This record gives sequence, C-alpha cells and structure tokens, in this order.
Amino acid sequence: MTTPDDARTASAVLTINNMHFQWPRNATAWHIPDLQLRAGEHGFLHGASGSGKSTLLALLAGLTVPQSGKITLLGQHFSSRSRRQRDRLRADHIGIIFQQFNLVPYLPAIDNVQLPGHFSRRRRERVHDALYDAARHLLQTLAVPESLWRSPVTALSVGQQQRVAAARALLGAPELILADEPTSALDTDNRDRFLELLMDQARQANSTIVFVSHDPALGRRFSQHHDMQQWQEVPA
Amino acid sequence: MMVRTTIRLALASLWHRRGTLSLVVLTLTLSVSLLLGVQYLRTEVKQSFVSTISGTDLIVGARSSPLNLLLYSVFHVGNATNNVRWSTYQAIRQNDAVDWMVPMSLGDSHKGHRVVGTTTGFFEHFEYGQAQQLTISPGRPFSDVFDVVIGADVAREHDYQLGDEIILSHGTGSTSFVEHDDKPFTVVGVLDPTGTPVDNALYVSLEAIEAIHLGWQAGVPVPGQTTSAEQARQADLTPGEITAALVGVKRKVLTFRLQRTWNQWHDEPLTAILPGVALSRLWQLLDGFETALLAITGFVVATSLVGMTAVLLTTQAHRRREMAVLRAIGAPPGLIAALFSIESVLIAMVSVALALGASYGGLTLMMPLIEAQLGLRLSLRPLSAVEWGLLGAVPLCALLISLVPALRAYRRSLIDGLMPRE
Repeated sequence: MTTPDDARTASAVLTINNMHFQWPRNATAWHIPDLQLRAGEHGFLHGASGSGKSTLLALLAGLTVPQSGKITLLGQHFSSRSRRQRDRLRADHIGIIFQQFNLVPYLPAIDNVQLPGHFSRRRRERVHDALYDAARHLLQTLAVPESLWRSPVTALSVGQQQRVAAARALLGAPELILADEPTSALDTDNRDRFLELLMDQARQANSTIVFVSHDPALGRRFSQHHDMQQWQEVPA
Repeated sequence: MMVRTTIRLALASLWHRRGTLSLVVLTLTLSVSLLLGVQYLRTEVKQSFVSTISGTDLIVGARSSPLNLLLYSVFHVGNATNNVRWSTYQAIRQNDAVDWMVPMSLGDSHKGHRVVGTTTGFFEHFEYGQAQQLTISPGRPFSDVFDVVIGADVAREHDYQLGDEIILSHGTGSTSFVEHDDKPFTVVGVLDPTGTPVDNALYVSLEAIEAIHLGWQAGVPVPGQTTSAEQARQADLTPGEITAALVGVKRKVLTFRLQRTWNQWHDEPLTAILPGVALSRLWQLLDGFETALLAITGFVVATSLVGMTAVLLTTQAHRRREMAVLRAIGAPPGLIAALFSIESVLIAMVSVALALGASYGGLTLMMPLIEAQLGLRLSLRPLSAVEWGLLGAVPLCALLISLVPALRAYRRSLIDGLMPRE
C-alpha cells in the first residue's frame, strides 16, 4: 500500500526521515526529523565549522550510514543499501564539490572534468558518450580559460580550480550536487560569480543543490534554509 | 571501463611523480640487473667450465687426488707432485682397450704461460666443447725439436707471429730465474681461440722438453755441461718421464675397467680419472658459493622492493585528499587499493625491462674483459626459462608486497569518507 507520504518521497530527489547520527569520537549527536528536496529545489545548510556538516555530507553522499533513520535518494532507500550499491548510486546521481583541493593532482583540468563519466555509465550516456565535448562545454560555460585545460591543475588559481570542480560535479547532469563550502577560499567577487554560474548550470541540468556554508549571506539564493544548530541534540 | 580508467590513473599518477620514482626504478633496475647478471654468468661459467675438455675418456697421472690431477693437467693450475716413468707409460698404453694416448710433460713456462710437452697426437685427439677439435691457423703442428705451437691468447698478448723466436723458462712461475736461453724456439703455429686454458699455453714436443734439460741435474743446469741446440738435436731425446696422459678408449664400456686397472697398477702408483666426473665434482665445490651469491642478490632485489613499498607508503600520506576526491566521484575502495598495486607492478615491470637492457649491455661490454682476464669464453644467448622465471617473479613479488599499501589505502578510504583528517 502506498501512502501519500511515500508517493511524495518517491518524487523527491532527497528525503531524510528521523535520522540520528553522531560525529565519531564526539559526544554531540544530531537528529534530523524531516528534510526533503524536490527536483530543482536547492537547500542551504548553515553551520559553523565543526558543526557536523562534514559528517552530514558524508551521510548524504552515502560514504557513511546513519545510526538510525533513513535517507532516500530518488526514491531509493539509500542509507540501507550495501557499500557497493551506495558507491554506484553516488557515481550515477551525485556530484560533489569540496572546499578546496578538489582535483586529482596528476590529471589536467579537462581530464578531471571527464572523470565521473569513467565511473558512471549513466552519466556517460547522458552526454551521449561525448565526454570530451561535454567537458569542453562545461569548462567554457564556467569560464575556465581554454589555455589552462591541459596544464597541470596546480597552474590554476583557486577560483579556477573550484570552477573545474563545479564542471566535474555537473558533468552528466547528476540529480544531486553536494557542495561543502565551495566558496570559502574565494574572494567576494569570485564567490558571487561562482555561485551564479553553479546555480545557472544546476538549473539547466535540473540538478538539486545541497549547499553547506558557515556564511548565512550566501543563503538568499536558496529556496530552503536550515540551521544545523536546530538538529543538535543536547547530550543526556 | 573501470579497469582502463584505473590503469590510466595509475600511469598518470606515476608520470606525475616520475622525479621521486625514477630513483626507485633505478634502485630496482640495478638490483634486478645484478640478479640477472649473476644467474646468467653462473650458467655461462659452468657451461664454459664443463666444456673445457671433451672426447677424452681418462686422464692418467702419478698417484694424487683426482682434483689435483684434473687441475694441473687440464686447467694448468698447480703442479704435479710426482711424474710417471716413461716405461710405465709405454706399458699401460699396450692395453687393448686403449684407442689413443697423448702424453703431457709439464713444468716449464714462458712469461707466465704454461709450456706443455706433448706429441702431435694432442692436436688430433684433444677436444673441447661439443667435440670441437683444435685447429691451427696460421701454421702447422711442431715437427722439429725446437718448434713451438702457441695458444691464441699467448699470440695476442705478446703479438707473436710465425717465425718469431721465443725462450722458455724453467718452472711455472710468471718470473723465472732460470731461462732456457741457450735453446730458442721458433713459432710454427698459432692455435685458434677455444675459450679454454689451451689458449694460454704453448705446445712443444716431448723431445724438446728433454733437449732443454740436457745437462741438468736436480732441476738446475750443471756448469760446464751445457749443450748447444745443435748438440741437443744429435742426443738421445727419449723422455725419462711424463706428467700425465690423456686417453681415448676404444669402447666406452671399457673405461671403468681401465680406470680400475691403472688405479691398481703394480709397478708404480697411478691415478686415473674420468674428466667429466672430476669436472662436475670440482663444480660442486663452487656450487655452494655461487648459490650463496644468487641468494644474496635475491635479497638485494627484495630489499629494493621493500624500499619501493616504503616510498609508496610515504607518498600515501600525501595522497589521502586525492583518494577522497576519487571516492567522492564514485571510485570504489577496491579501485583505490588497485591503484597502489598497479603502480608497484608497473614500476617493477619498467625496472625489469631496463634491467634486461642493462644486463645485455653490461655483458657485451664485460665479455672481452672476462675472456682476457679469466680465459672464460662467454656467449650472448637468449634467456633461459629459469632466468625468465626470475624476471617474472619481480613484478609478482611487487604485487604481493604492494598489498601492504593497497590494503591500508582500502581501509583508510572507507574511514576517511569525504574529509581526510590530516
């Protein structure tokens, strides 16, 4: 029997139900009773550093599983799947952008962007097996100078590196993009420009963004706002 | 797709760190070259050693240890403790089983090279390698009392030509105080190179040995009794004794009976040996040494592999961020682990390939040197199954030992999640 609630979950990109988790070696526990993001909706999670956001992102990425409760990704009970299945789901449906050091140091920018296509058939097929062309297109759109595409990634500025990382996360239009403070290493101008480009591309790919930051000023572009503080459980 | 991606990543990562890794490759290349070189030389030297003499069924000399007899008669190392009387030689060659017999008289030298008094039968019957016969070019066997046929190395070393006159010395040291300078010899033939001690010796007739010792007593010339070369020619040059004799047997089955008969010879204590048996016994003495050498080089290779793993483990600390990125993109932990194993195996394979080139290059350079210094004729040959096995074992060991960093990376990539705690 399908309840209206289940139907709602099935159509959402990401749903969290009654999830408990705890940062390893830390007394602080977290409880997220209910969170849901539909396609095209973007969520902003505000939290100071050390507020458990890294753990939350690892959970959303399927790298770890919660102590209890469940995470549903595209209608699939994500957090109860095997590690192998979670790796597969992540490769197929999730793009991740870190704070910094996003790139595989020994691959040039253009190869870094194509990488997800090598790990996911689905994302490869979404660009009709034209990984190179898709990567070119994304780098162009994200304004990474073509002269740097084949240079070692260390030759790129931090802003450029973050845009390459965004291009990689967007390749093959994954349904969910997890961004962990991707702008914290950028100056204000770069930050706004980066955010604009990311949101723009996410809209075109119809991807949902979960954006974690300690800076509440960034939150105004997002349709959902959550303060990590509210989920913190006072130890008994 | 995944396998290709993994290998491409491994190659890109190796190339990225080529500066550091070239030292690892260098260490491994040197140690594998050493291993290959030792194994190669060991079989080649054995081959060269065992093929020093063939076609001779027995060697007979005065009673001594078989090894000593083999060493002084074939390798020209050491001296006979006693001689065999000419009458005994005449008596034992009457045996029906004997096909041919070549006497040898040792004890003189020329500039450090042994002089062998023998008969022309030596050039007919002596064989080495796979039944290869001695050939003389240019020149001919000795016929006159003061003719000498010289080995290839003797000719090369002293640049002797046909017709050159040379002086023999008494005794076998490289410097002799007593020269047979009153009776010079004429070079009438140069033997072709054989890669055996023959190359380093000079051959004269038995009569020549008698002639140069005419008027000698107890190993020194008696003053006032010296004879000229012309006088010597007229004298009775029948030898009094010889040092040893090479023997060919009519039917091989008779070899053992003949050996027993001579070992129990009633008139004079004799020792008869089978050269093949004595050679392999001598080789066994060296066998322990060369096996130890091979084991040591094996350890050197193992040390290099451990060194490689240490380097990989060190770099691993710097690569946690990279591993987290790969995991985030969807790389399974198995791929992360495989990356380290593939890198180790690739390093090993590159090193083996380089070592192969280095070994052959080194051997090509060393061979003339070894031949000149040790008289060992080595040849370049394709690798044997054992040597391919040794080479194949190197990447295989690299794979095994790479499991240490690989498993560590596997476990870490699971713990680290998105955020390596550095």
